[in-house]
Amino acid sequence: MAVANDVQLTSRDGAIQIEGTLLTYDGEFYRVETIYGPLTLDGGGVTCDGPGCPDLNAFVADVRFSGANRMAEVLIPALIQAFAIRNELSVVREVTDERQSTFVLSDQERIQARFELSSGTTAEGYADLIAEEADIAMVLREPRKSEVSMARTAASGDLLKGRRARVVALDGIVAVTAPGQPLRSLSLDQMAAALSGQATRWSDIGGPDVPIVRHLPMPESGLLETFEDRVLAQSDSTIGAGATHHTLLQDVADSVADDTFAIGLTTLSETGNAVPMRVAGACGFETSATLAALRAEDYPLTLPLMLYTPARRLPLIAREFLDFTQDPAADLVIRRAGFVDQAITKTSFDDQGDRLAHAISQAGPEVSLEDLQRMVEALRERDRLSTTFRFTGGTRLDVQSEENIIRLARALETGAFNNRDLLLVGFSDGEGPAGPNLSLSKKRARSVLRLLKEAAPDADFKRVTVRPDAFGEALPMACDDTEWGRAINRRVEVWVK
Amino acid sequence: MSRIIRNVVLAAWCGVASPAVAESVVAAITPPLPKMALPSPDIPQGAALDAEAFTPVSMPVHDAMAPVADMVMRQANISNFGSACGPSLSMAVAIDAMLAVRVSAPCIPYDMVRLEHEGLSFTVPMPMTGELDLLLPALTADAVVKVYLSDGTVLSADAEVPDARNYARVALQWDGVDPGALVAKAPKALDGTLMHLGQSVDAKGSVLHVFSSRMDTQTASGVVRLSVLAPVTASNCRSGHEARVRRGVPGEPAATYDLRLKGLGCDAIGESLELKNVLQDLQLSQY
Repeated sequence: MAVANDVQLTSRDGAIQIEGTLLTYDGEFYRVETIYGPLTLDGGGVTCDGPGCPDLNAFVADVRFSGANRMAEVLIPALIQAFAIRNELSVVREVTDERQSTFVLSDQERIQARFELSSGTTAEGYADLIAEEADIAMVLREPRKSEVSMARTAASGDLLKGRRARVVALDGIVAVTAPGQPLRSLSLDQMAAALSGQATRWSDIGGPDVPIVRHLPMPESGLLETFEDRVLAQSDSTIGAGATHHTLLQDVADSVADDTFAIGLTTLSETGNAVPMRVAGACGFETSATLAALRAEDYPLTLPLMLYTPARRLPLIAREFLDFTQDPAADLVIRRAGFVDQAITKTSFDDQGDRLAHAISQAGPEVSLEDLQRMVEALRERDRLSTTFRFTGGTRLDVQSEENIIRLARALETGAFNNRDLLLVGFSDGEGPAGPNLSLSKKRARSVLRLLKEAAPDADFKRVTVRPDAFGEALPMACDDTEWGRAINRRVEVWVK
Repeated sequence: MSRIIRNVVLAAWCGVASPAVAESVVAAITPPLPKMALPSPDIPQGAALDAEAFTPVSMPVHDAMAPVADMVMRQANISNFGSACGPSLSMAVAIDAMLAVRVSAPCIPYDMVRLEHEGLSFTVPMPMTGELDLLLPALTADAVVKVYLSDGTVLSADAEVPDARNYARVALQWDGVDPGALVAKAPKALDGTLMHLGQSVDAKGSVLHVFSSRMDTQTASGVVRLSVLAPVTASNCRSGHEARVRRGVPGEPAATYDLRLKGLGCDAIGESLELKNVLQDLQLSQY
């Protein structure tokens, strides 16, 4: 391959010289195609000669975001605005069309960065990332197997290697109706039947005898994909014909809000003037998609909104932006934009009355009075943190819980819990005998403690007590008759004193 | 001051002494024609203008008008209605956290003036009388309004509007000919008004649309959908639109930013560009 050597990089002492074609310059680092392959060199250590050298004082970082419109519409624009205000940059939003916007960030002298936003689907976000047409993907789910193998063949690196997903905010998948609809809660099976079209009349799912009118997101949207994966797949159903699909979720919400016969699938952040339904279980538990329930992942259809970054190096301002999305200062921006942030909040033991009442009503041969008394004794003086750890199976954490490990580790390192006593409390589902369930819940609590200590090397564990405990199936949060209910019950809670 | 009085005296003296000159003075009082440029009709592309060239017949200019021009010159500090030219701006607080703005500039009737408040501005033609009264929603509690007159004068006034803290107000400034519109859709139960301020007839003009809703007396909860509707016309199909947004909601820091909408191309003339997700919707809660 003939390479036009358009740059020559010389080390400050003149000892080393590299010639090649400039691939990128990110304001800090040169990436040069050389006879040795692509090399990345720190711009501070070399001088550049040749026609390909960038103008060092006019560097404008171009950062391309692509992916789910749920993130591109409100959340990321709000975070970019807040990031700019914090860094004393002014913002001009250039709108090409409904799907393409560019945020131009400038200081008093010149343009510092251009953040390009392409609004589409999660699948498009991963595809653009793999094709190197995006620097950051906005996604609502982990990459699928096909996407991981596509990334490997495209030589853009292993999508799963390292920690590349940052959960920026949380949202909930909700079924919505008009405010006038008398039926207010559905089981996940009923929700699946109503939204897929298997149930055609409200009377089929416990409502009045009127037809069900369905409003759904577009078939290829990450939201409908996630709903299919998590809910429809459980009951082996698929989305039937006859529903109205909308490009914008706000159109789903608005159509439903105006029609008492309608049901729609949307997210908690985009319910508009429609009303979300509660999710009920057969044993009498009901969960609503509230801020606290989403933070603690107690609601079964929590949707993490993530930024996925590639293996290659991003410009400094892009990395600063990514750090900002994880900063407590961003939490307020996220909440104001209508999403749920991951701030660590507390609820007192007194507010757990419903759960305790349920625990008592479920007590029997497997969970004895002594078990419950021991649990109440251990938790009575404490507050529950919103941080909760859930498992995809066995002791492997889900993505939101991995984020929680980092958040809690950071809080420990900054001394936020100094002189406090943290209890990591493992719980299990109620399937199978109580004994093995108790030991499984102990194992989960210990594994969370281990991960936490690994993630917080700078924390002073002499000044804070963190220890595991477990109560097996004593305090269920959902019914054990469904897979999602059992998944909600398999958890490690954090109680602080 | 003494010069103004002298001019008045001079004018009065002329009126008595010479009826012929006095007639000319009456002519000078007639209000001048509007100075603002009206938009010229859009001529379809390719339509050749085959106007024939003509040579104007030159007329000898007589000096008969010179004394009148001289007279008008000397009256420069007095308006057509006899009031002093000196421009002024006054501002009072009106109900609903509105600012009652009065701009007085008797000597520049019909001229466009620009009103600026919280980084947003709009243009308005002065009425014939040179007295402009309008209501402007206060965007902050410490409201400052600046007025830029066509003669370069800048006037400023301020007012304390504590009630403004109770209002959520989203303002959209559009620049240029054929400005777009702020569109607000909300259930009937929600209180809110959409105000249109200003006129923009040329590239230098701006209009301001403000959606305003009182937060502390809401009797229902709900979402107001805010969107942007931009017409595609011959004047913006290539250049696009320039706009500026200010979102002020109680409990949130106010945010102002610029919007630049790319031109859709001139094949799209006559269409409208509706952008539903450029402005964040407004969540109102029952108080």
